[in-house]
Amino acid sequence: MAGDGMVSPKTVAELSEAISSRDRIAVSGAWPFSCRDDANLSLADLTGITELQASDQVVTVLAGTHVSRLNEELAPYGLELPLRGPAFAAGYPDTLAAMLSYNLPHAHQARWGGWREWVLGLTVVLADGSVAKSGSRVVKSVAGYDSHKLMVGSEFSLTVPAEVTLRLTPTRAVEPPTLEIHSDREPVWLMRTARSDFARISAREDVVAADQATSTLWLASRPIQIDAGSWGRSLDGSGEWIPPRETRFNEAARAVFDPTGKFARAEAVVYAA
Amino acid sequence: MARLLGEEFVLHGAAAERGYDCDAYTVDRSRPAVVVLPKDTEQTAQVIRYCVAHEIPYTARGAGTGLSGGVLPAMGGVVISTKRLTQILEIDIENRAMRAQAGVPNRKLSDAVKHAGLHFAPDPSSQTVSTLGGNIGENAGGPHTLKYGVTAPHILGVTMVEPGGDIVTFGGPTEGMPGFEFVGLIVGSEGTLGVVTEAWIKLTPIPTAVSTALAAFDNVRAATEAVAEIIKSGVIPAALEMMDHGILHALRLAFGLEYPAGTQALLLVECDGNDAVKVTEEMAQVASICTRLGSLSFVEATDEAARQRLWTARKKGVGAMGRIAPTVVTHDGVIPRSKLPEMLDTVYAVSAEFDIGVANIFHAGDGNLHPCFYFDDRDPDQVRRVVAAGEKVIHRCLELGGSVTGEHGIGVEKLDLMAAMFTPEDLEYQAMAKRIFSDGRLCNPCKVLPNQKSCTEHRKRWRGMAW
Repeated sequence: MAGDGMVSPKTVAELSEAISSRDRIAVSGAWPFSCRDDANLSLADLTGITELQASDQVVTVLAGTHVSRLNEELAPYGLELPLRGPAFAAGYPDTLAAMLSYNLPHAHQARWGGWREWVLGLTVVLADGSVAKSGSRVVKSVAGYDSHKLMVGSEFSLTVPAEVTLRLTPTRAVEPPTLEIHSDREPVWLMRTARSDFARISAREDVVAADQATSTLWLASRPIQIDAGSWGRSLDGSGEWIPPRETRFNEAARAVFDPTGKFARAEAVVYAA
Repeated sequence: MARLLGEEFVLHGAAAERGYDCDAYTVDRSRPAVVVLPKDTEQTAQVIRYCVAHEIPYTARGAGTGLSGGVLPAMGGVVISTKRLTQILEIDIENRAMRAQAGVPNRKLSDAVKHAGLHFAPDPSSQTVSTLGGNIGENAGGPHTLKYGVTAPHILGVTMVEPGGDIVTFGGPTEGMPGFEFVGLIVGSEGTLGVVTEAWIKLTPIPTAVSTALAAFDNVRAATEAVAEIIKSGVIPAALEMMDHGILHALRLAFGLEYPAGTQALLLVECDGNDAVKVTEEMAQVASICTRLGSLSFVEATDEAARQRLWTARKKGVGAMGRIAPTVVTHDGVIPRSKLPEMLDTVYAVSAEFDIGVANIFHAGDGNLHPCFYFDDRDPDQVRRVVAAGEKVIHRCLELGGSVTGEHGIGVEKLDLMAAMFTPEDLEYQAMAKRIFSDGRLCNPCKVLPNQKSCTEHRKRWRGMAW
């Protein structure tokens, strides 16, 4: 086994080498691992646009690129990834790899969707170091299994995203977010409710921000009970609240993609409904 | 099967075998041993458990409107038809969600909530008959996916019988929960990861302002350039569809529809939203682009009846093809939208090279091409030329950075093209997603991934039946 110090690959090939040569991978700078002291892989240098097809509103970009940096590069073309506003900044990760891996609600979701809609294609590095892709570089494709949809929200526990092809939005079409800011406190939890419960729940005094359009709340404290049809999670990754559901497929997915348990993952406390 | 479910849930004999040996992709055929029509999830699970215990292949089927052979019973066995799974189980207007069985036709989902100003946004051209389950299996598209997305973003959760025979549910009415997003993987998996029997779908408000326009051009290139310009301008039309002279010829023969003299291509553009002023502005911008590129006419409509008249050409185009030739194969490929002018030139050149007629009617705004080759499938030589022409077109899509399929799926039709789009590592990675579920060798075998065990032998048989 190679040394276990921090490595910062600059290319997909270097990322592949880093992952295949180690028995354990913990991604640094990736929320919620940012506070981990055992991180040994940084994506900070895996940055830059590979291909911008401005007239098609599609970009392919290395996954360590910061969202804000990408949007700066896209601005001259009148294009962007519609991720702006306070709910995006507060406690959220900022690289494309981390953001798609955590798939958190954001201020423009009602109109522009989220990572599940934006990621058109994704190249990943698997636990054994092999490099593979699914999806395409066009706005519509149903060829093959959409393995990338599984990587959205997988929290770096199955593969490491290396390069991503994204659907972009014309800036002129992006309207102000539907989100309302209630206080300047730091949010520590976010929660999504059934639409029918939103008005009642958003009257809580610890609401930092609320988005009626997607029934999402950012809270300054952990709620102590959950309504049917709601889910919640802490913004440091330490806890979540989810309705009862199938878990054996989660284990099966890990067994298939990461048979040796190479990818470190934070175990969230699951609060009972 | 009759013992398991009762005689009324089973079809067998020559008629059933013929009726269920293919979908709307008729080049390959394979007969099932028996067709079952379960009435609920539990009966579906009983059938699958029986198949698993006896090593019988099984294939789920909706309305059979698929265009890539996705429901072809590739190894024979049992076809599980969703024809009796037609219940809408729960409508939650306030939360804009509905739970329905897989056999409900797409259009009925929208009809059920129209009174509340809501609809199910995906609208494949087959929507009056194609089913929710089929739409999920193929991740179906449609004219309005340009703005509203294909089927996947509109599916909140699914209940399915996984290949081991267990009933499992993924997702639910509230989106975005922490954890793996299996729903996104299952939608578009062509019925190979299990048999979806019920789904929670998202209901979307119907826009209050809709404007539709039909622009006529005297050459195809100007129309395709208009498409690229409209996308580039930042306007996001709800629909941006194109029809070429081949389709117009068919429409004239079949329905007597006439367009301005010299028309070689039509663009159908729809803009919608809840702000009528903004919709009008968007349409004005579209009109100015079309005029600048030399459109012969630009007819706009905002009232429902007039709008529907403008849609006639698009909705009846494929049907009208029946007047030109006994058989039509509708191909499906995607290119970056800016490459449309160049790609259409290729399509016409290929049609001339193989001496096969072609007409184009497609989702131009998405760069999703549908060249319709028309021919006589009783002539094996014509069939061979059609297959070769189709492959040439699709390879050109790949060279231009596109995809081998935008909405029809891989099925059996495009198995060989997977290796042209993906590396062996990519295919292995995608196969891993399939291994998360129980052993899927019996569940709709020989689809999506090429080179599956024992499928090669069966393939010769499928093609042989058509000839």
